[in-house]
Amino acid sequence: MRSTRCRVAGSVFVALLVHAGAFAQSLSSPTRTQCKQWDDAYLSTFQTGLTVCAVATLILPFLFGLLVGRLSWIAAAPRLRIVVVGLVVVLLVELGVVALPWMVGFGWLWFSPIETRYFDCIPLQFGAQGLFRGLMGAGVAAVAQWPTLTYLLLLAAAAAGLVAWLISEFVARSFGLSQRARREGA
Amino acid sequence: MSQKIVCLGGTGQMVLHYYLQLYLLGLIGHRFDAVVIDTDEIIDSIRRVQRLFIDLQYGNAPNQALGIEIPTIETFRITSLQGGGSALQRLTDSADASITQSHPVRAFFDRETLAQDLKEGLFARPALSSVVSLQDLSGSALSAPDKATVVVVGSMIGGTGGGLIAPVIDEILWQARKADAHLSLRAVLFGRYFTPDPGRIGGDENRFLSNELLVLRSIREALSEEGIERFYFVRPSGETDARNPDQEKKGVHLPWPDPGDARGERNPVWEGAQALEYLLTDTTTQRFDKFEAREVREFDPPVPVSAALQQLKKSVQVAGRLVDKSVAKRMVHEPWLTAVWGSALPDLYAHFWGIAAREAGEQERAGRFPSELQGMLRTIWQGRKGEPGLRQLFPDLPRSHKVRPRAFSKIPWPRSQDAVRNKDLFNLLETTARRAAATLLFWSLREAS
Repeated sequence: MRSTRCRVAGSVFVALLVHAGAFAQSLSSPTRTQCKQWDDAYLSTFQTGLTVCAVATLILPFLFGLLVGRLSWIAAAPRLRIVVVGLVVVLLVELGVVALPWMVGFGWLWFSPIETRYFDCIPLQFGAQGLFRGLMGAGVAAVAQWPTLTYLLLLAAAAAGLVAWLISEFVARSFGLSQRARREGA
Repeated sequence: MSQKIVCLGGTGQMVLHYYLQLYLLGLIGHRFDAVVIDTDEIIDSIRRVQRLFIDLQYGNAPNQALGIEIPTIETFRITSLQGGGSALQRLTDSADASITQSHPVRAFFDRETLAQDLKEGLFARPALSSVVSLQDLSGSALSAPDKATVVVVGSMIGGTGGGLIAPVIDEILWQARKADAHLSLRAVLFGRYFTPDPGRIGGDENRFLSNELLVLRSIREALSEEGIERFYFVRPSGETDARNPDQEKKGVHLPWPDPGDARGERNPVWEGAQALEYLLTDTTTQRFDKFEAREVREFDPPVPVSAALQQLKKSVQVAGRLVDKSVAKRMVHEPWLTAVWGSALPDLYAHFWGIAAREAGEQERAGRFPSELQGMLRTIWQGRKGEPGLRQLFPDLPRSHKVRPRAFSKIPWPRSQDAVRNKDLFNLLETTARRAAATLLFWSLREAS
């Protein structure tokens, strides 16, 4: 019963947000300058998200192992925890930076400099910079490139995961069990 | 003080089956030497634990494991009966029944007894124990050091137990006299504690009562002077259950008593195991002249069923996780070794790996030690195709509580003692891995919390 109520309230909330967006859209169309500003702001947020994704995938598996290793079998599995942490980080960043704007619009928290009317910029030619200073998708609004953004997050997490794994193996080989066994066997 | 258990026949073996479980679960703290004597096969569960104890050997003595002195198990199957054949064949060397007309064997055994096939034991015919001899036992099997406590366990209604209890006690006393050793000799004796399958034992239950009387009288009259100091008599009142010899021989997932059955009265073999522990550890030195006064009628169970069940659940699950979660493999890749697993377990692991590396000659070859160790853990715990492992020694239980990795850092793992290590026992990477696996499982079972 309670969950049904929550679901109804959530649906109403999302509908209101969408309607608010539509209402705002009907008010006035964004100018090219506004579109450029919002696009740059979104790109900047995404790049921060990408960095967070990579750094978190690199660092969190170690912290997860160190702090939770005694309590969780996943945290006590050096390779598995890199994969699990990487996937969770990608999922959260994807949700927070790529998916949520499409679901609830802009204008909140880290998207406060961007208005929901940014979506109206998608069909416009406003000189969008594109990803990585124009290397990818120049001329296309960044928010419209969500599949590429998703792949980039996955790629960043995979690369960071690989580095985390290499560091983990290096530390384990240098100071871990095999090294202790080597000393014992010497 | 040394403690020795002499288990006779199928009943003695079943008591040892439960007693070994209690030892492996850490509920019995002291070590002991067990001797099993039977005319039938040694049950598989005892063989599995015997193998585990062999794998645990670390020093020169068979009972010297890493960080603990472990029990030893010697098993003797009376070889004079191996291959089966009827009692007549064994006694006269002829299968021809007409020979009894002129053979003195007819004076001692009736036709039915002589026709009894001895392939699977003496079938509640203690008189047939004269067919067997104790020559098969090694010289030291029934000897015990001065001031040792020796407990003989067997059924008075069975053929092997009933027939061998008195001769074995006599042999123990003779060995003690020879060595000028003073023993505290005790016994757990089983009366009629099960209902035989109809037709399996000729003469059925009437024979049981007669066997009981025969054995008790022979002990009282022949051995009461210097013989049994104390004894406990297991003889349930009321209805008894049937036995399942085939299941017992496999020793796979045999059930435990219910938690409400504190002394295990509804499981006579469990009661026997409790009595065994009580008699082994009881320090009463009072001697009674009258044989009947030596019977222990009541005792507080040394290991209450509910406590044992609690420990069983913990131990089995911790040891199971060691295998299921591939702990030996995952530890190799762990950069936070001490934070996750504590310091003692990695030290112990590294000790065995180091031995393997040293014996293998080159570190590269020993690189497969972790996977070899994990394989051995699985083999010892779960068994191989068709062969049960240590897990099957214990009852089958549903998973009841969560085991986290920290359970392993709480175990007081033994410290390496390279100075006392018998190097001949660790000459191959595979044997080192097997001994390491046995040690890890043994400590996981005994110290799980």
